Amino acid sequence: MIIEVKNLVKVYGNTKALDRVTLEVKTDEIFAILGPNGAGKTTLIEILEGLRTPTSGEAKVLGFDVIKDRDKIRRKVGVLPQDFAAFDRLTVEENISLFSSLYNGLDVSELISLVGLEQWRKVRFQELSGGLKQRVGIACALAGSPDLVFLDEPTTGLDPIARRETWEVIENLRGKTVVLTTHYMEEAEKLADRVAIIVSGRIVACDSVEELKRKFGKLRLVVHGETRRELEVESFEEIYRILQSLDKPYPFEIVTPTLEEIYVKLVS
Amino acid sequence: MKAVMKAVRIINISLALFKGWMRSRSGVFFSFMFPVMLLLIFGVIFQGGGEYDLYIINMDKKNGINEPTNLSKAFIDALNSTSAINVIVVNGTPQDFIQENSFGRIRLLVIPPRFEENFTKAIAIERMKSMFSTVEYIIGNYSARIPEDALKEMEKGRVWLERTERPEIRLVYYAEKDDAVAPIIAGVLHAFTASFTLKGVGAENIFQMEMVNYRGLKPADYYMPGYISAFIMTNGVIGLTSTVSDMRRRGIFKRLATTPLEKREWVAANVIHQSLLAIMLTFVMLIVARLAFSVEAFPNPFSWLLIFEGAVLFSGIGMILGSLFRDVEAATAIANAIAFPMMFLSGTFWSLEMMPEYLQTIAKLIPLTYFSEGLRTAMITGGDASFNAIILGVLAVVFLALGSYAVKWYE
Repeated sequence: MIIEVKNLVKVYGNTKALDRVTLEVKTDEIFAILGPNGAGKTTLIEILEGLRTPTSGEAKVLGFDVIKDRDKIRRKVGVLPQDFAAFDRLTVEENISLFSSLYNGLDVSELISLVGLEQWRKVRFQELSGGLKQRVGIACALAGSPDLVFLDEPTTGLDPIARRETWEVIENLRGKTVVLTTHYMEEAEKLADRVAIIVSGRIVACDSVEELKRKFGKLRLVVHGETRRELEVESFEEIYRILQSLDKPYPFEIVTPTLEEIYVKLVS
Repeated sequence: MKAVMKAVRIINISLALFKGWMRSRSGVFFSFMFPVMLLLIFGVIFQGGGEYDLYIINMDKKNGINEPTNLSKAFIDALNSTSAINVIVVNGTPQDFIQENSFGRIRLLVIPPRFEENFTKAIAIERMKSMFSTVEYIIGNYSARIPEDALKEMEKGRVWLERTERPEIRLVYYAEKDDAVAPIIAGVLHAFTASFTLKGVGAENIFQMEMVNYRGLKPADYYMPGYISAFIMTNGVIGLTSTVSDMRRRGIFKRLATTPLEKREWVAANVIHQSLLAIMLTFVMLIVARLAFSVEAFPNPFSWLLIFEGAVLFSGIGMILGSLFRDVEAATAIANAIAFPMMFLSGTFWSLEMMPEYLQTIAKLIPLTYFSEGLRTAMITGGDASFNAIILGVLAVVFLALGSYAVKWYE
């Protein structure tokens, strides 16, 4: 396991931001932490990045303790923080080059091409759109050639086109371990091998999307007869039995549960 | 290897800060153009004293008392009555007077000791000469009728007169090298002394005037170190406050904290950046002051030490203020509220002696006072600014430590 978290608690004043969080992230998977605003996603990820100190519990990243070895962790992980910002008056190339130099890291041209910013390399950061800024952020996160990359809400605030372009960039990171936070179901469903759903500082579910659907979702059979009937079913055998029992071969459709339905169910 | 990597990171962050600053029009304007404009404006406005002022030090005193001799006093009164020159009589030695008034344009005439004695002697000699020419005429025409003894005495008198030199009075006239009015006043003085001699002695001018050119200090000499120190202060206190606050608000610190860059490396990079700006500002101000006002000052190593200490001190204050306020506007407003009174109360724009006593006391509590005073002493008057350097050095260490502590790298 590249990340191991046990009973992690973080308290701000009277607010418990994280409540006995336990999870594991496997090497080379894309792991999404899904949750509403204020659920504790950023607090969790920032503890794992070594930016915040937990109140109690244990967390190990790349085998290093997040409190004792935070300096070692930050040398080995890549981070895209929420609302990534860089040096406004420096160009794309200069910003990426600066971050690369902090690690003695990857070649700048390689990074620029990895995130598809070739035609913007001489453009100042302040003149970029939100989507392009996020791509600069991802390039900076990859500057130290990390094995583990944290992306905190990488597409929040982006338009649908920019969001899809960012997904493509993240897809290209397969082969590294990626931990991302999001409140977009579609994003988690598209990118993540496994998803942890966090609500009010607690992990309420953690598994692959398919398993989550299987565990928490219901199949639905919609029969378009003389009247439209929608039935929750347990299995395909049950569907078969229902269809056999109909007096006529009415058109029908089988609706599989969406992650959003599961999320709404768990969050509410 | 670790040390090399650290150095590389510090240099790269310094360069990034510097590039960012170079591309900010307002940053460049307020760091360079604004102080240059102030230097040019105030340097011109306050240039020189009255157009035809002439200071006089009268060293010809009556024996035993510190009162001017009657003749030297008459000389000054007569000069004043010409109304071509505004005569101001002062006391002390020429060197002290020039030193004390080093930031104003002055012309000084020194009436030497024994002025009255020599002038009177010159009158006596001229009268004797006149008398003797009559005596020689008589001898030439009537020598047979003059007793032998009398002729001998007359011959003795002639020999004495031939051997006796008429005393000269050496006036010393001090004026700045590039003072265009100084030669005009010199011409007036020459005409006046000739006329004064003619009236008093009835002969050609007995005054010799020695003109001493000195390199005078001008308002620009006063303002230049003041502006250098003031704008090193604003670059640190206002500039760095807004940078720190902005970087904190936008999460750049948090982002940098997740790289191998350490907080102390970031602090060092900012100190280098601010020191670099301070050096550039100093050079720009020196060039402008040289070209516009012929200021010949050049910072000695001691001045550079003060400049570095100032850059460090005000960087520390900027870091503290920037860390206290996440809202950039609020942080900048507070920085302005601290920087501007500091600028006006520290003798940057006018001499501290011109301020009320209670403000002078307050000025002593302001770090910029020690910076601008020290820099003025080290760069311009060539005095000892080691006290200022010690004060600044201690404050620089304290504020840099507090600033480094205040910057929140991560929770």
